[in-house]
Amino acid sequence: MVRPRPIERVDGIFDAAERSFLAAGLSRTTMSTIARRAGVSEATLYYYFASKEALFLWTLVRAWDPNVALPATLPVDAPDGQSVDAVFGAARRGVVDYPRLAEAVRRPTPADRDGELRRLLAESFDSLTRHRRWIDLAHAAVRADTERAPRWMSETVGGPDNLWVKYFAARPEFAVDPWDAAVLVDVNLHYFARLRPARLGPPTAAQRATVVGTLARALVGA
Amino acid sequence: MSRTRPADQPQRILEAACRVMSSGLGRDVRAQSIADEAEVGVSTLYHYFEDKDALLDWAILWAAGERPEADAALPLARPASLEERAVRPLTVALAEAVDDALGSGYGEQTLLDLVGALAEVNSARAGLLDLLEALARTDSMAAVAVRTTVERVVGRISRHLADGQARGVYAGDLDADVVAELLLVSSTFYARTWRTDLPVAGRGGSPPPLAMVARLARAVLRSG
Repeated sequence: MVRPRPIERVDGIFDAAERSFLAAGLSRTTMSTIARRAGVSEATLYYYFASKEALFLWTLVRAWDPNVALPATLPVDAPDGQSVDAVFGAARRGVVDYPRLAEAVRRPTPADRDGELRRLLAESFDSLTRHRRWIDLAHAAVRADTERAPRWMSETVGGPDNLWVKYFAARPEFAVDPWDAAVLVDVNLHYFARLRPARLGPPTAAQRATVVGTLARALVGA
Repeated sequence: MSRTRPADQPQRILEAACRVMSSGLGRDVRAQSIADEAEVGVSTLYHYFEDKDALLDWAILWAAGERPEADAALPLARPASLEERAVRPLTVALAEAVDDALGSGYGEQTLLDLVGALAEVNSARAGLLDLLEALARTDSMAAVAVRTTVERVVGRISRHLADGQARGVYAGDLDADVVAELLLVSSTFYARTWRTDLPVAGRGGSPPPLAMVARLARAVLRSG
């Protein structure tokens, strides 16, 4: 008789996978490490997930939305039409970190540029907080990946494709070096919205207001 | 006949251990990785160091500027009072620099002095700070040391800012704890991480632009 394989076991596998990918990245994590951590055999792991890449992509999807349902057919393959590179491509297009910033870069400077900056800072702050697990995983995955890491770095803090660099380059009214300004913004947003030690708790409204307010004043200048 | 070992071999091994630990794994490194980085065999590591823990501890002391005595018996055992010797001098240097800068009163120049002082300590002790941060993920000693040091500095700056707010020098609507952290995080980043972690294409390796942190400091001043 075939023993039933409870789908709840998938939660344990996802937890083990997330911890493994965070610790060692994508290329250095093996299915056997994940299996050992989850307390299942490697064969069981392949019963649920067709490949390490499929498991990684579903771990990412679940970090984005914990309620997303897995397909019923096992083993589960990569999410529809997705590949590791497509997922990181989405990040590069600014969908992940800064949803409105890419649009703002293409718009002419509004009369209220100070207000626009404050809104974008606040939105980016919230986006980073909301997606912190996703970003942590993606970052850990590419850290040791010599092919993907340079592309990932190019659009994160201070990289040439970083949206804040483009934003300040398109807003000469701020009279700041686009690179220096982008780094100041990115370092502090990433730190306060997602990298601050977890024991200090999630960012409060007052903290967010201070970060946004101080950065805006610093960038608008005297 | 035994081959003569190069005199700088221990130094190369310790520097390699620092680089490997700093690269993200902390203490979860394999002896083989350190040997590869130092371009020696694993057995050579154990000629100088009793075991891997002894090597890693000595590497932390090395980053803190301490050197094993020239005539010490090999292999070296784990050093005593690692925390006190590796972390204490750093904590003291940071506290003194911050106290010094903030002692001159309240206002723009004081905050700029503070930014400069934080940057200086970070630049001067970059190797040790990088190492402690990487270690903090896998080693509770380093984690506690980093946390305590950061909390002490943030607390000191925060009290200064709150006093300044009470005197009407600094903007009263800003959370003093958060501004203290903003100044520390930004100074640290520009003075230390900037060197290595950024794809600074087009910047041509220009010096850290502390001018941006100075603007952050000025943003704290009460306007009008």
